[in-house]
Amino acid sequence: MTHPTRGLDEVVHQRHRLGILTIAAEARRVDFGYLRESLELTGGNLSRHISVLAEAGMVEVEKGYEGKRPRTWVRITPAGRKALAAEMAALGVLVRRHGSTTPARAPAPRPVQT
Amino acid sequence: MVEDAHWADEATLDWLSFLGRRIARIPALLVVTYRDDEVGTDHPLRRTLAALPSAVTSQVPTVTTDQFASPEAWLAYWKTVYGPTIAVYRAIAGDPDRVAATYSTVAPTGLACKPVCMSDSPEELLADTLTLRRRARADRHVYWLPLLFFGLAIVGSAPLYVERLQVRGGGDPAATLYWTQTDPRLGPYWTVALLGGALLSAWWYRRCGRRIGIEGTVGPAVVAATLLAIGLLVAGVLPLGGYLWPLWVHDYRALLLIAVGLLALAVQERSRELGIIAVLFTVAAVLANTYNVENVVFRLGWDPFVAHPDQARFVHLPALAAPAAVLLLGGAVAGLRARRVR
Repeated sequence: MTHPTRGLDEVVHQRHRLGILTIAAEARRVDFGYLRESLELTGGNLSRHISVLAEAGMVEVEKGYEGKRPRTWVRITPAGRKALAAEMAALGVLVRRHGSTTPARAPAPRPVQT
Repeated sequence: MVEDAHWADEATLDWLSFLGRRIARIPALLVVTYRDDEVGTDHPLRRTLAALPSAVTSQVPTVTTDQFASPEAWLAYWKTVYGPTIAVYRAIAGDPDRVAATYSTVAPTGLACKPVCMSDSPEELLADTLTLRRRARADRHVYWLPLLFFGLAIVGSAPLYVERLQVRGGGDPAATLYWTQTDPRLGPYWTVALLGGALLSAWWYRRCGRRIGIEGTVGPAVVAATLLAIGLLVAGVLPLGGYLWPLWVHDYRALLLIAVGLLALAVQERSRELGIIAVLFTVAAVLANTYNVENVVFRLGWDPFVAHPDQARFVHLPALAAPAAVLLLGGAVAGLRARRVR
């Protein structure tokens, strides 16, 4: 049987990129500013994560203006939806696997303050 | 290297953020250690770590008394924890973009980040993702205005459902008086109301999407309702419609169009609340079309045909009451919830 970690895609398996895909999957398109606030990221950091996803073909970026105000919209692609679904499924399997293998009353090693 | 950052004060965290913003410009590696069991989701360190560019988090084995058994054991543990970090720094040659990819190749077995570098445990990642999804949906849900609009449209149509005494003309007056079942203006009224409602909803979703930053769509709902409208039109044009009696008692087809639109919107929005409202409304709309709803109020004591014949012309209004109430109440509650979310 294949280990569930094989279902994890390194592009998606990152907290912020997973967050970007999750939010984008919930809408037709999502604003850069909304993502930045929701994920509590700096603009530069978010931009870098979006670039990684765009290079992998998981999101599309639309740049435009609303009046004089520049706006950037992020739209998830079918490949992005597929990758997100696979990641969520793999995480679910990992969580279930972890839950089923963790002994209920195992004596935990006593941590030492460092 | 910053150790025990879970105890860091505000000034230290500010300094970390300051350093984090600039670290990508210099060939340096910043290592921050903290005890993850002391950093909850609302801990200020979380925000600071989130702002660090190219940050890679790895979970190291818990230190136990065994690691203090001998200097060799302690050294082995130390190498396990910090060895990969030093190897990463040598491998990336100061390029922060390569940290994540390189870390997963040099980290030895035993570290939680093998074989794929994980930011957090699967439980945390899954829980945070589901929280994000829930928030995004709550921010996107602005269906309260369409609900209120169609609720008011039903209330507005009520005068057109009041029956009027008509004279067929000629012969015995007693035989030629009859009640009109529907006003001829109902067709144009509902055409304008449904079309206006669809356009208003599309405009409203677009406006809110742009303002909030997350755009939903009413497209599938409009398409579903349009398809049903075409179906009903065909059924009305073809003699098939006549054979549906007594299943088809009254003509409240506009309510069915709204019901289909709401059901499609609930699926599109993945909203349980809207789903409940849409199902309740659909039940009320189907009942209005297939059952003499006035019988219910008749059993409750209102007898428009014998006791109050002057009120007989209002006989269709009870069928409109339940659908209108569902939309108006649902819209009001959804509006209040939306205001609370934002």
